Amino acid sequence: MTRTGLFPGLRGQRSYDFVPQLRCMQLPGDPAPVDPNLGSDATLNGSYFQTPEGLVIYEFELIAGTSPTPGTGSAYLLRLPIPALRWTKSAALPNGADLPIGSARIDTGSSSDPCFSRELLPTLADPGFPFYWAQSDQWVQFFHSGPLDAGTDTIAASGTSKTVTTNRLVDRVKEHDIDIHPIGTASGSNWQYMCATNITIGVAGTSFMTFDVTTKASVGTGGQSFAWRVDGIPWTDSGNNSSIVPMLLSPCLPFYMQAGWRLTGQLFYEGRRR
Amino acid sequence: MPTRHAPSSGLQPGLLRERGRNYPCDLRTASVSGGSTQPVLDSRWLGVSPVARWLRLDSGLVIVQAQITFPLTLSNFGVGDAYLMRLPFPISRRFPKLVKGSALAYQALQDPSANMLVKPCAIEPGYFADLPHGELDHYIGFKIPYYLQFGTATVDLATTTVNHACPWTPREQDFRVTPGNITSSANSFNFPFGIRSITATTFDITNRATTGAGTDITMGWRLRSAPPAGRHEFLGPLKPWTWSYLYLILAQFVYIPA
Repeated sequence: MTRTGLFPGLRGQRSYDFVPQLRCMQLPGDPAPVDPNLGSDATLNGSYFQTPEGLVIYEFELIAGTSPTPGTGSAYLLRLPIPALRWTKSAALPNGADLPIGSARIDTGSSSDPCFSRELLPTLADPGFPFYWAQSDQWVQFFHSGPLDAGTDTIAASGTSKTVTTNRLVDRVKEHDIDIHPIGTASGSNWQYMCATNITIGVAGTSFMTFDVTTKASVGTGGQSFAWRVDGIPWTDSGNNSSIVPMLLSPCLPFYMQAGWRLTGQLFYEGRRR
Repeated sequence: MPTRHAPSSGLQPGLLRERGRNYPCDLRTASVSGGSTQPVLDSRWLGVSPVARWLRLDSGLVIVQAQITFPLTLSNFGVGDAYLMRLPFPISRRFPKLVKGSALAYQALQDPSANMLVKPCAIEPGYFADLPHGELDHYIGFKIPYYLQFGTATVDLATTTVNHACPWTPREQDFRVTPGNITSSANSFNFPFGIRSITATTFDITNRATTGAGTDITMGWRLRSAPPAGRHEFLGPLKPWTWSYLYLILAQFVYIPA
């Protein structure tokens, strides 16, 4: 379906709708991936334009519906309307480079509170993903800077520890990726320094990452509330999730897909010679 | 024009004119106060680094994609306040501070795989003392949001000194320290850990007292420091981290040629 061009002043130029297609990809040797299903009420918009020189401009928006299933796999890949020219291919590095081809953004949705977001950098898909080896120039992957989550919890009266279950994280984080602050005016025996211990990696599709907030001694009567925030860096060690590529957008990272999950972006790249 | 490589064929069949071309996007250093030394990046290493490709539209607009890999054979990362990348055509510096596209600084094949979005920008006249005025239009730099470093330290004293490599002296609020274990030792932690005595190369993690024998604390720390006043915002040999082998700068940007 064609419509008026993106550039109103251009005559004879057209843009074309191209419904975004998001798939999961796995690393070699891992179980077959399961593609995401953004739901029957998902929003999937995309439109592209190609200049006479072969430059392709593609804008897209994907918003998960009320009951999405994130799928499983190492990374999300988005289909390009026209294959890209992977000009850095060489005999020494047949995969070519992770060439940036625009900008993108992921967030947890306008109705989520808080609405977490990360800037993403889209690059051509790594042909190391075996399933799409022959088609890697037609898919794009997204770099992110690390997992992000936050919340509040409470150590019960007379307790010394509380296991925090993160809302959306699966990947590994380290102690220095976690901030913990007591809430309110702690006094008496409630005032015990808190630390993060026993960081446990979740299993994609099954459980989320947990960590323990522990004090030196009992917090006393009334318990002690605390705030926590995880702002991580992509660690390769992902425990049971051996297939995770930690720096790439995936069902688990930088946060788990849920209702309202939104991926938007604008790509521009050199189309492949046919 | 710096097009030492033979131009490639057209982007698409049917196009009569040549369009996209590869070129070696030489990387150089520049210094605010002068005295920079140049890195030696072997452009023949694996045939890919550093390398870029440009596409010029009929309107004159230039689009550049670049991949700069710091090769295993690199013996000299250079010294200076910024890495600057050579352009295929001189850039119009009418608004040099405007962002021209997007780029990624990336610790490839590392754990963690730290990566940071950086912004390509033209160079203002007089910004770098040792970049000749006639060369200004031929280079582009990358502005960073912050310096990043992280690690762990074993804390067993009231004061533990930790080294950092930030090119400037960071601030107290730039640090995050989170203990990874805790002890019930009577001689230890009733108070949050403190940061003090920050110097150009070290900082101290402080506690009320020594932890006592057998009660060492593994402390995770992270330093994320926005550039201070002055001319520190460009990506360089020590920013946003100390560059190492196989690290990458990947960029795509659009600009109006001079």
